Amino acid sequence: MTIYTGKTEEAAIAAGLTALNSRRDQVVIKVVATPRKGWLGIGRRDAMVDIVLKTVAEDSSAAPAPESAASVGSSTASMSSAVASVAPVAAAPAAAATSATAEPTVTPQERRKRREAAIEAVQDYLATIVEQLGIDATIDVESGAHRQVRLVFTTDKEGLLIGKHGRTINALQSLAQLFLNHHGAAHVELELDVANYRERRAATLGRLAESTAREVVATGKPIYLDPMPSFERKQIHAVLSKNRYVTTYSAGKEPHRAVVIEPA
Amino acid sequence: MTDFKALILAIVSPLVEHPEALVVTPQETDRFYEYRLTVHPDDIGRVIGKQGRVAQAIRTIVYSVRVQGNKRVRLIIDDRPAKTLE
Repeated sequence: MTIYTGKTEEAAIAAGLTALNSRRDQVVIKVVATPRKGWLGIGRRDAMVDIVLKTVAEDSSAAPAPESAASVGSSTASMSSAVASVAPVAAAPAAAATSATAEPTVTPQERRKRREAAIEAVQDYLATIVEQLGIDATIDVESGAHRQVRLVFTTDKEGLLIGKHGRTINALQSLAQLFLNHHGAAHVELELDVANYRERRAATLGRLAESTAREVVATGKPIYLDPMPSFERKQIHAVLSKNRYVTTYSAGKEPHRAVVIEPA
Repeated sequence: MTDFKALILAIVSPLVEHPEALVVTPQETDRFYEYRLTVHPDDIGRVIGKQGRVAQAIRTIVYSVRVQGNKRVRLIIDDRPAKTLE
């Protein structure tokens, strides 16, 4: 064990190699101290490296050298010391692979479990609220595409649960979404539906978009629609995206944000 | 008549970090049934939300309940502790 110093790690290693009269793959290099520049030369520290000749590489010829280099590389990588700068190329991907596989094998399952638990819990949450509102309703889950959940209420007091312009169901939906985010199921899109309200609403929005677009083209003036929640505005934009005669955008601040249809 | 106190607690308590600190005090004035909701100082932001979005949703649901007579329900979220902190 001999310690060599230099201004940088590389310089120290080079000094050591010339002193030992050997190549890089014949030695084991360990960084003892990393260099510090200091400030105006105060607190400056040279790099110190410990260079030891490999015994295997020393007494045999060049043939087993690459093999031993690889084995040494993997062992140093598992030690995860500061050899990284000198470790052979083979060690780097191996170390990366082990660290990459160690983490996500546990988390996706755990996350899915947590997500499912949260979806169960949100049903209880909604059920208690609806019960407190004096509405008898049953909830069914329809999980559609990845991370999309639809909860469908079945009740005979549909109007009460939907509210004027869907106000109550939208409020419940945003609270339920908040509940999910708060209980470890972020990035899950939740949709509440009563008596096909969403589908009927989508049809209404489509008709509204088409007729308004026609009016815009006829008068040549932009029209502001009523304020709507983001997912309803999105439907309007989608319907009119194929229409070459109008362009759409949203204006206003969130609770009063509205779609504007303009002649193109 | 619906139990507003239970309704408000059912909505709010799963959304906060300190459900034990929730207090709902009913009060009847000549025009409103007022419910004053007091939450833990750390939870005020959660109950109000960005631009009052959560508060708006809670109120929408609470007000959607039909009440007999010509009085209306009003939900007041007490945010005084946060203001006095400054």
